[in-house]
Amino acid sequence: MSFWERFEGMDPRYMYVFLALALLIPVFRPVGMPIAIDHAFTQPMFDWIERELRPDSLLILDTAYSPGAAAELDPQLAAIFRHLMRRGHKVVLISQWELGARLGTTVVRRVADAVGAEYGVDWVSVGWREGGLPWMRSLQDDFWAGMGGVDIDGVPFERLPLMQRLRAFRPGQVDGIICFVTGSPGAPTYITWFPEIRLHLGATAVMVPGLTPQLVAGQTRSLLTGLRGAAEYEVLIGEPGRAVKLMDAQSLGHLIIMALIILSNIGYAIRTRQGAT
Amino acid sequence: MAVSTNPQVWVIALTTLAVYSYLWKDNWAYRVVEHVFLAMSVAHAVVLTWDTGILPRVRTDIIGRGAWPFVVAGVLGLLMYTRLASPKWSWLSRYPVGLAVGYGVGFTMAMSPRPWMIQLRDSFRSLWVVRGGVFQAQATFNQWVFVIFLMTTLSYFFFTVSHQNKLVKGSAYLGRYAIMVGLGAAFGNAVIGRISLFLGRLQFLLMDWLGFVI
Repeated sequence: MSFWERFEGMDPRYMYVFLALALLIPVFRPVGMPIAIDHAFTQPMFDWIERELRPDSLLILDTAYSPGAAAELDPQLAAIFRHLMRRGHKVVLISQWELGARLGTTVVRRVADAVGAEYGVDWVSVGWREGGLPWMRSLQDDFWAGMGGVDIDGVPFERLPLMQRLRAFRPGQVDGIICFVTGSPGAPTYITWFPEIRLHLGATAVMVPGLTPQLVAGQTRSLLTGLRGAAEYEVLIGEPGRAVKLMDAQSLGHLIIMALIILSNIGYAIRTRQGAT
Repeated sequence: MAVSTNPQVWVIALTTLAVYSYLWKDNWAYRVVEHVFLAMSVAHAVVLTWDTGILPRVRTDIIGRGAWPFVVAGVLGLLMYTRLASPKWSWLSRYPVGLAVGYGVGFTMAMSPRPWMIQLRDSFRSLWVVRGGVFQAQATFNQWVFVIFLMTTLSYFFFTVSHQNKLVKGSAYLGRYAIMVGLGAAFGNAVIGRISLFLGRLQFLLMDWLGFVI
């Protein structure tokens, strides 16, 4: 039996073990591979927050994801929220996904504690409400009524000073939206129903090819790509964190998969040629 | 290295390992976790609907504010179940279904074409890019690639003219490669995502559970 035949017949479970072990090494001992910034996808988000937003802007951050996407989107949310607080902006956290509300709040609360952001003054989490798109549309007329007048933990908006600035989800009160998406509902809500407010996206990597036409057409101004996008953003704000640490393992994983694809194709070509002769 | 003493962390860690054990072989630990996950998802959905949908409407809106139109909506919702009750009364379920479909179509048609029109408009590209009086070779090349791949991809799905026609056949052939490039990019990104998910779990197991400092 030739090498290629044995390679083709290899039990895939050995590949899983090999890949898992290979990913473990750079997690413990990062090589520190350079992380290039994507100027079309990631840089516009940073430039917007750093240079374009007027001081004390109010932004809506939508955590439209579930635990399955947390590994990719939590680091994006943490890095962007850290940047927003550093620039003195205000954040209202909302979620189109019920599980995303609690996930996003947990991440943001951790960062807020670390940077000294005060709840109710610098940021508020209003959570998720039942009702889908009609619920989101109702926020354009009366944000307080649409949210039932309370935050994610049932605290009345009257006791949260930041909420006095947000009576309707409209331009003039909201200076921008950053939506973290992993499916539907997600970006189309804002692209379709809130086109007059500037939109930026953070997406799981698998979503990016489908969202790229919207970036090119100007419907969203930036698009962070999974863990890679989070790592780029951490580099941009000068605070390397979890995403940067994991990028070496990510890159190694890709190299292994590419090598396996190439080897498999070489084997296939050789076998096909032998079969033909 | 300080292994976690938090029972919640232990439950998460052990269920994570049980799920990954399926990669080696189907086993009882995986099946237990799978069933627990399904049961919890259903329970969560039921409680969520009751707690955030039904209770606030009845308690706050109907009883509290006297918003009686919600009763009409409630009755319409209950009519959905007539198809389960008896074939004799199942026709009543068509009223809420018709209302929901009509509302959905109207709601969607009001704004949905706009995003597509913007993307359609964006597909009209200049094939000779000059900025500040200087010819931009790379931008021009990109525009040509975009337009050629757009047209050839569309021709792949264009069946009004027979694909025996040489022009359509050649165009569709190129379009097939364009689609493959697009699918390849999607696959590559899917792989990124899956590895990210695994790394997220790995980090949890190593740091939060086993207490390694990374």
